[in-house]
Amino acid sequence: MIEPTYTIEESEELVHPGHLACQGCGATIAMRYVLKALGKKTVVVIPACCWSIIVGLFPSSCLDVPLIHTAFETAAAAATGARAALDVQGQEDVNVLAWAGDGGTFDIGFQALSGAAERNENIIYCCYDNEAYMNTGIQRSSATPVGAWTTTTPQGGLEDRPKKDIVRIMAAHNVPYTATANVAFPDDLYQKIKKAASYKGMKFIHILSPCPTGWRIPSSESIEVARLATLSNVFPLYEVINGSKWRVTYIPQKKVPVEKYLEAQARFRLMGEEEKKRIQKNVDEYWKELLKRAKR
Amino acid sequence: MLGELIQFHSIEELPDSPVTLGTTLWNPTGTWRSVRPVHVTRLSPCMLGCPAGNPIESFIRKIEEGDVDGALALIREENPLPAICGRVCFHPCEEACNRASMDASVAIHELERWVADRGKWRPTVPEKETGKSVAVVGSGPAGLTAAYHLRRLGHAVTVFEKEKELGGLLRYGIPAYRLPKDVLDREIGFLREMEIIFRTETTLSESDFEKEGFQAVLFAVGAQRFRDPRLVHQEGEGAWKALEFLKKVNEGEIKGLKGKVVVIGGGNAAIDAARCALRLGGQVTVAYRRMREDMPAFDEEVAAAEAEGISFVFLAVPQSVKRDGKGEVTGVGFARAKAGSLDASGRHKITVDPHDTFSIEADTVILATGEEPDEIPWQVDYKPEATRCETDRPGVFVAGDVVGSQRTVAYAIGWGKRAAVAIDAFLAGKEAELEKITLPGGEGISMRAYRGEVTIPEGEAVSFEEVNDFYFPDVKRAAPRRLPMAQSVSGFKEVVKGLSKPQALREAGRCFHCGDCVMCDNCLIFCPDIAITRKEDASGYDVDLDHCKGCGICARECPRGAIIMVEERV
Ligand SMILES: Cc1ncc(C[n+]2csc(CCOP(=O)(O)OP(=O)(O)O)c2C)c(N)n1
Ligand SMILES: [Mg+2]
Repeated sequence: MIEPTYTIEESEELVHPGHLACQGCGATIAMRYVLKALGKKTVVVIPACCWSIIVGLFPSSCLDVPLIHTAFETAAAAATGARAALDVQGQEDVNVLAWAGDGGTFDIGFQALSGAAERNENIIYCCYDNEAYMNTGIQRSSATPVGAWTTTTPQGGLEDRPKKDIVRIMAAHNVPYTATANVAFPDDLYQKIKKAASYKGMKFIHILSPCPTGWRIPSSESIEVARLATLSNVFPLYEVINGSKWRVTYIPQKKVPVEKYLEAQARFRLMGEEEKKRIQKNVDEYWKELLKRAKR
Repeated sequence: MLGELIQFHSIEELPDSPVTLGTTLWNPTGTWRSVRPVHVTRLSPCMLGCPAGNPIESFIRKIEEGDVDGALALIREENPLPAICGRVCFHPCEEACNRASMDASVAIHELERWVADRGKWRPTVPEKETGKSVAVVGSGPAGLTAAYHLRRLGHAVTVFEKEKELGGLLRYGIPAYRLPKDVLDREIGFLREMEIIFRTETTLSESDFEKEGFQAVLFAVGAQRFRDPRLVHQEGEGAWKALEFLKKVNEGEIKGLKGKVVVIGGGNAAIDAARCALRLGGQVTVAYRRMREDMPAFDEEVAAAEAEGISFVFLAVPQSVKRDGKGEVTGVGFARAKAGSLDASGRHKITVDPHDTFSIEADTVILATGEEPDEIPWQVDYKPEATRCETDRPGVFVAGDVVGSQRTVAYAIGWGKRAAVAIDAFLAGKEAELEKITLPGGEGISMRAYRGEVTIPEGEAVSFEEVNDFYFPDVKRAAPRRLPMAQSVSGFKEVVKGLSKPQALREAGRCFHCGDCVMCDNCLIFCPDIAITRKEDASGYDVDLDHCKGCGICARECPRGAIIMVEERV
């Protein structure tokens, strides 16, 4: 039959055009499908990040849902407060979505996030990961992969430190739902958010969101490159229920070498053949371990 | 569409706390754009590969939509012989198919056959008669095609055939195991229903042409003249010219062959003759002067012959037919050849040593050393490959193998279509604008474009690089059901039995639909600017150019190259 068929339901768009994202911004696509899955009864909390700009200047907002701008390190704390306020009013059916970048999640907002997870706050925390502090001009974060050029690692940080395994950390908080997602797989993203919303307690979704500006790729290739991340197992798609039940949600049919993913992006241009081989090895090992955890 | 910008003109107008008062729709982010996406319909390469101009991509889409009759109707707009083409055409479309670069090309010919065998279609007589009358000489694929299209254009058509039965090479050349005669009869039956007049065992003289009031004549007389290899002792019993042999077999006049048969030649007629001889009981060897890869016969046919147990001898240059004292054939004498470098046509050059000889025993020899165009019985002159089908005499046209060097059924159909257009234009006193209806970069023409029903997409066909193969999962190409080997080689029953319905549907699903939007929604789904919407009537998409930033994701994620990015002019 005529493919592809998406399971994303036909519904009102809650993200409006006219927003201030760069051409080809993956984070915008991420928000589009997360809000489609959550619906209009949602409050969004956004700390300092690209999205605090994307959303538009006062008094405009591209979102058709209430939004709270908050300080860089406070997404989870502010979301906790919003949740408490809604609950007090008896509005338990309203979703609270904390929407933060990787800097705001992996680094500066981590303490607040860990605290909220430990308390099992009834919120959905989405980290849209563009793998650097993009809004302030591409500075390295602990989500920046080894070998990637940033303005603070002009040689492409080549020390062999793997990217912080945020989902495993969050799963170790034994929260009801943690998952990875990728804007190149909107159906998988949409279904995971739907699923997340069905749990009470802390939900954490890590969404790979390509940034053409920071990744040094043409805007048209944004989705293509994000897809390669999953097809090459650099960014596997999986979910963890209650911190213990691991499930891989997408198994690539044709294996793509990591090299293809790296070479599609100029931010990896300084990387040598040896590094690429090492990364391939790390990716293979991680994938094997993931499958083991998922008992596949 | 732009929204309204909210502005405050005094402190009093500001809200008490900084809350959102409106959307970002006022913001014309479309001004950031330097290129814009445009949904387009483009040519798919399969159609450029088809000399008959079949609407391949669109008929496959009809199959997918579950409309087999619609698929057949679409094909018959261009090609009156789909049940035949689907069986005997060597499908250059499949070589052109973009899917060949991914796993294997779509089995287009099998789908065409499936549609022709399963679909319902009834011919109609034209609504308006032009009052003009055309004679077509020759009832092979070119003649039949021209007759069909001329009739659809409202002309009275009479087909003259010198043989007893209609079909030309389709009847007397192609064996029944490849093309059952009832399939041919059915296709010709449709033409009869359109009130095309057929006169068999008749030729058309110049005086009769005048007397009977024809305004134009088409000679589609084929290429059946024997190309004589002039072997020693070739004349006499036991040595056949291939086409004569095939005709006798097709007429059922040869019931059996005993002993050893040697077929000389490497073309399709040689393979046809060899496979017939095998079915009649012969022990068959094909001897060819060059190498296997040089054979002009189609590879699938050669492979089928090999599978059936026919032997091949290569680098064998025939010299003589050997006969015993009673004149009976005992064998064929050959000189051995040596293969050298490749010639301009990509085939091996050979050098023959006349002293290095050998012979192969034979009771029957079949000479399949090629054919030449037949002679047109009138005083006319024309150039080979005269694609406009014209001769030096106004009103006298030529088409098919008699004028073209690519002698296949699909090419003949292409010739028939061009001739029909050339004659129609001539009868209307107009210039035939064949260029306008020829698929750019291809050879086939579109009758629907000629009638003004469709416009031919401009620009280049979609290349494989423009196909986003991620969206097409691997699906194995369908293999048609076949008659068991033992049954195949013991009679003339059709060997290939075609696809089952589930097979055909799955195979149709393998089509990329290059250059044709099927409304998969990818462009809409991946737009970061929410600038693409489905048209109300589901006929395509609208792009909100007030907000589209021109990122190009839609074009990149279109699985089939149906969106192009066009530069904005300042
Ligand atoms: C405490 C604090 N430090 C620094 C900043 C400046 N700042 C604003 S956004 C940002 C980068 C955010 O990076 P990330 O969370 O990855 O989101 P992105 O911009 O990549 O979307 C920074 C450093 C700030 N607003 N507050
Ligand atoms: Mg970031």
